Amino acid sequence: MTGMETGPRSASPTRGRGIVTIPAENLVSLLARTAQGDHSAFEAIYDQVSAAVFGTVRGVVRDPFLSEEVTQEVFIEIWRTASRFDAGKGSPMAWVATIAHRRAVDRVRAEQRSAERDRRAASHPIAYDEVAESAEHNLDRERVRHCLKRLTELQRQAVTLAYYGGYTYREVAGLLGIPSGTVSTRMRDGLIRLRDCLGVGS
Amino acid sequence: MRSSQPQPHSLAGAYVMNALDPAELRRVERHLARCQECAHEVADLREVVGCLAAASVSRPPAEFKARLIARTPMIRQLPPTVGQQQAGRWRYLPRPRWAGSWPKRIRRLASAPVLAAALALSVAVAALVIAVTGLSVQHGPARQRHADAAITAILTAPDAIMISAAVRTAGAATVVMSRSERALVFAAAGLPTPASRSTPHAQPRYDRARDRTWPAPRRPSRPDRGTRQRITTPDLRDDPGPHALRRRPKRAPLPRPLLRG
Repeated sequence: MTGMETGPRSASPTRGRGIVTIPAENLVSLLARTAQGDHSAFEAIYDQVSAAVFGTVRGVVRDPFLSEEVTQEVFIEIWRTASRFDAGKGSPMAWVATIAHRRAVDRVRAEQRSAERDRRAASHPIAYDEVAESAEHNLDRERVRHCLKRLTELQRQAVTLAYYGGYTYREVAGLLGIPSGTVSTRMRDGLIRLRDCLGVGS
Repeated sequence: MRSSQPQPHSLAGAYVMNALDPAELRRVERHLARCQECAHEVADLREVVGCLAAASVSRPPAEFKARLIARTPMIRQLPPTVGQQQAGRWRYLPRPRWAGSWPKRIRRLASAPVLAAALALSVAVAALVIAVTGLSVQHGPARQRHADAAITAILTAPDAIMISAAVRTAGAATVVMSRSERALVFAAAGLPTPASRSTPHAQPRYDRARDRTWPAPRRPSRPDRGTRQRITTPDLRDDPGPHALRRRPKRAPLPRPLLRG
């Protein structure tokens, strides 16, 4: 779509470029067409982001069957709310990833309410490689791995337990045995450092 | 100073990683609505989340796509949020409070030439392709499939009749009914809030559970007990999703006819 501009915050034309190899402009126009009910555009979006969505969801939810359910919810939300995507607020991939991660975390916490989740993650933090299994987007994976290594140990634990483990920052504080205020600060610092290392954002 | 409560801006990282308790989520969102700088930071950190997602890839099973694509035509899409400018005829979900730079967005969207086409199309889609609401999506896949199947059966019945009309007050409604199925599907868009629920000038109440925009609220509301087994009373107040009315809704008769013509 040509009518969609980068938005008032043109200070961020580089947003979303960075390491993400998915062509962001293309996703923007595909989302605009999807918002108009274009099924072929929606299919194209699926082809481009389904591996990242499913990978993200599986990373948090773990169970393959539940992950498929959640992934379906994610794509239905993308389909339903495509008109609400605002390219001025961020890249399509950030928007999609936010939906996917939130849905995954919601599901994990809902499951947790019915049966207490095992606490093995405390002693065995989720290995990043377990999640990123495909050779596709290898560059992204390598860059993220590289940048995660550049965090302090506490930053890395705070980010990975929240992002991949789906824990709240207070739960992370409990797992690590440190004050929750420290954890929230480390999460923010860790993400800021990741942002600078990955070269995304404004 | 409350030492046990981290400052809202220090929670930006936890916020974008969905690592806040519901109470704190509200607190942070209130803060974000006021703090432009924080909103910028959140947008930046979301890009990091996008990178983390793009880096953890795993292909869903091959048949998954076919199942999904087969479902989407039955799912109604939300219209663009255009706010006050369109409030005369079509009412949309009100603006969530966290949407910081909303007025700018409205202007830009409204100036986009494609918007008119999108609006017209979404209205047409609302009337013709009648689908299930987001609420039923939240009820779980099994119930969702059941609702899909019920609605599909009505829409595809050989004796299905479709009636569309403007509603006297505002908006439009479509009914597809089938004698053989002994049921009808009701869909509407742009209906006004009943007078008993609000004063004429009151803004529509923001319903977090219904707003699935970005970033959407954490928890869906508990489904209304009355709608669990069969939908007998179409909720005409808010999201204009369709409702399937099954077999003699006795306990809750249809509201006074609003259709004109």
